Amino acid sequence: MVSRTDSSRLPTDLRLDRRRLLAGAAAGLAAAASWSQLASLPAYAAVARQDVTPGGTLTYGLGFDFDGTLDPQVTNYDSTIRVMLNVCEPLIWMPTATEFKPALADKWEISPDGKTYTFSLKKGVTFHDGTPFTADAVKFTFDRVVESRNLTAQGKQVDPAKTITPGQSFNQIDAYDHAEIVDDHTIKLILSRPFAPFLSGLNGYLGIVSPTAVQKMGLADFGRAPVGTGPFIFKEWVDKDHVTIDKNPNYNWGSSFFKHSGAAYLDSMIYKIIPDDSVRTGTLTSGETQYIDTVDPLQLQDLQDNEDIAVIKQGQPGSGYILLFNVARTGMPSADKNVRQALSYAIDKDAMNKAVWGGIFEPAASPLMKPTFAYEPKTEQVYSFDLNKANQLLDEAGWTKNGDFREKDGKKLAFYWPTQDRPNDKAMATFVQGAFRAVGVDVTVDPLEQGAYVDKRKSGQYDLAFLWFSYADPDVLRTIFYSGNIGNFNYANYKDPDVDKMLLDAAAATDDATRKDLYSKIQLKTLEDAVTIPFADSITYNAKLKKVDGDFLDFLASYVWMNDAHITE
Amino acid sequence: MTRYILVRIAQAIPVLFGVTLFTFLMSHLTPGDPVLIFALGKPLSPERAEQIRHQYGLDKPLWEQYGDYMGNLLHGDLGRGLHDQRPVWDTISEAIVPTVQLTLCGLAVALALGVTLGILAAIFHNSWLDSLAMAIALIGVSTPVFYLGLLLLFAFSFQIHLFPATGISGWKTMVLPAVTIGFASSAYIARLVRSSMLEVLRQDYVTTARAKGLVQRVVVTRHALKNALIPVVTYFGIQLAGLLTGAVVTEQIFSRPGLGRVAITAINNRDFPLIQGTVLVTAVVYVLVSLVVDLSYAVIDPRIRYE
Repeated sequence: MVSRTDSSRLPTDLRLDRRRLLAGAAAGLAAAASWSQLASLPAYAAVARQDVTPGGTLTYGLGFDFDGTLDPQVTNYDSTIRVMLNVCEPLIWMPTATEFKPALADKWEISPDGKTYTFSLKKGVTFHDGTPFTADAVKFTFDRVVESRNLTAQGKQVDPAKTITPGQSFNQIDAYDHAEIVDDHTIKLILSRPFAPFLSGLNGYLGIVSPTAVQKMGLADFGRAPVGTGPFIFKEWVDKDHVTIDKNPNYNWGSSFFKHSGAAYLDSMIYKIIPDDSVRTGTLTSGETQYIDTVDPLQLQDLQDNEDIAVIKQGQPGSGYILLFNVARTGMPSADKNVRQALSYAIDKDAMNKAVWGGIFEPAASPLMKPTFAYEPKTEQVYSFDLNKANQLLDEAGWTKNGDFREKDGKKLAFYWPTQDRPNDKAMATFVQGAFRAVGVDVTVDPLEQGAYVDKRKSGQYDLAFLWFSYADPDVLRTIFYSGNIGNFNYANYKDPDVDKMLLDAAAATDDATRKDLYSKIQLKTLEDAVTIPFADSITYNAKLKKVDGDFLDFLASYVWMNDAHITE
Repeated sequence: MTRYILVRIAQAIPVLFGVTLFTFLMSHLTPGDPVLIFALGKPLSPERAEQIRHQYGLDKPLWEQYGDYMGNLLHGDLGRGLHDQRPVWDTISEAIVPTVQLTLCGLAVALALGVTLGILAAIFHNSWLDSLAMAIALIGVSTPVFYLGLLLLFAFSFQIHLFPATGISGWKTMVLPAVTIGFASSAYIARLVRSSMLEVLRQDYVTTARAKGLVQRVVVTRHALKNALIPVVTYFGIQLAGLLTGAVVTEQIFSRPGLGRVAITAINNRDFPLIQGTVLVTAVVYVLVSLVVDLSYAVIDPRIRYE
């Protein structure tokens, strides 16, 4: 498991429980117990804090700005959702890889064909504008995400003033077709095809919005002051400076997952946008902020040494930092499986983790990161760092050394790698350049400005590409390796009928064991074909003052749930 | 005078027109498709991309897009941002307030520090005070803004908690950013004031003033300074315009909103209406500032007349 054992991120009483639990359990079992298993214990919800003093303001330092909107269905940015999920609650919460907890939905049922999801909704819930929360609002929220798609399909004009251009929300519920309202508090969401990751997509991007508010305010204004049902009410947004949200005093429908269901303990929260890493860290040490996300690796040690500060470390699900070979470049070395397999032995991932990420990530073996459902540990046995083996395989494949570099039939073993002109991307590419050079392979790294990079990638004129894709479900592999996604995120232009079929079957299957089996095969197959070299699993590092308690980092290791957050003295 | 102003403003019209055409072409001809950048990091089907492109008129021929843009512009409509659908003017007018505040405070720091150092250096020419002032100026010129900003933050925010590191409310949040951008400018101003002051102090009328028995303070402030300030005013004007649109590094370090950050974000996103809006506003600022600078010569130097 990824080391998710940093106890500082657990709420205090859970930490106590954990100790008790460790004492009582068989040692081997306890050592293997992950945070996800612990969180699922009923004990967590049952423990009630008596000593919380409500009140106070928490200032949260955000590392990224928003993308011009706070509308959960329009935004493409996680930073927006980090704020807005406290304002616009989704139907369900996903605290671990396999668990879903009620949020605005009390319970739900999936039809045997995997196409109908029936939600029974909480009663007595009101939006911040005073209107009641009913099935209409759920239908409204989901419909607006697919409205522009449907209009276009019918050949109608889309008016940006009336119809949103959906952001990330669209990709998460792409399979959604329509909703049927059964009664005020029961709704059926009907999919166009069975889609197993559907529930995991119902996160903050699908936070339920007030239909009345959207209609009254208009889209542009709503995007600057959204209205939901959450424990916090939107107050103000000063562009590129901060967003303030205030406690919702009427809130009493908190998820059973949280420790208390009533109004938030904090009076208000200020999300400050602090783009500079060292400044963000500085504000935490000076107390100007009490919680920050995206800690700079260079400053991690300082924060860990600071006795007032707790570092929150958590692995992420999805696909980590991986290299992709453009396997479709006929006649080029990247299309030669023998070359790719040989190079899979050429990267010292430990050294790479230290050199590129300051050692704060974890070396990876699979295109799936370890916390992801269906991660296959056997992937760790497929390749190792072995330069002799790499050289030997390249020799056998007929690429012989001529001077520093190898060649075959007069053709040099060389790769072209356009990257984005960002420090991290360049560091990654430079490391690989050095590693490949050691076995006689020449890599040209071309750092490009964002627009030029996207164009270059679209044109297909590259041998190497890298990708990082945080996602709650192993279906992320379909995004990267499905032939239908060539021209999209299938940067490798990989097309394998068996893998295609397995990816589609796994996305449609409702049975966990079947899915697990299929994803295991896919992971091993993509490694065997050496389409990808996984570099590192990314890990989230947030930090807070120790006096902040009750905050909870979700399974994606991105969103911090603030229902129980409070400041102890 | 009025005629001069009117002519200058009339001259600005072709300049601004050229600016719109130039930025339009530059932003559209630079590689990078706004729709793909919009979706960078997220899947986007080709049909969906085409649909978004159509929705924003990006599939029309270039000249037609420019025509639409100019038509709206003449009606006072800068358009809406591609990303947020917000009127460009709203975004710019909101961002320009903290930028103007920062620029004015920064230049106030620059003037106060620069003029004082320059005068001292000139009066005590070749003394240790002169060397000290010029050493400070050298440091000011050669210290990168981001480095100075971080040093100030480290000392005054993180160590002794005197000023907050972020925020835009209250004078306390202004001190460090103003000093940061003011310091480099003050260095230039100090050198300018020193050299033109030295020149002026050697003029006959200064000798005359001294001969009349005027005290040093009056000679310097009444007679010499006013004449020594002409190059400073020119420099000040350029700085003012530059800072109004280019304080982006300072804005970033101190997490301040502002026109510079709006421009950078717009460029990265290929948000054409927003790029064009910020460049146009920048151009207008430059034109106006240089006009004001020209006019202020007449006030400072009565020999200059506009006929």
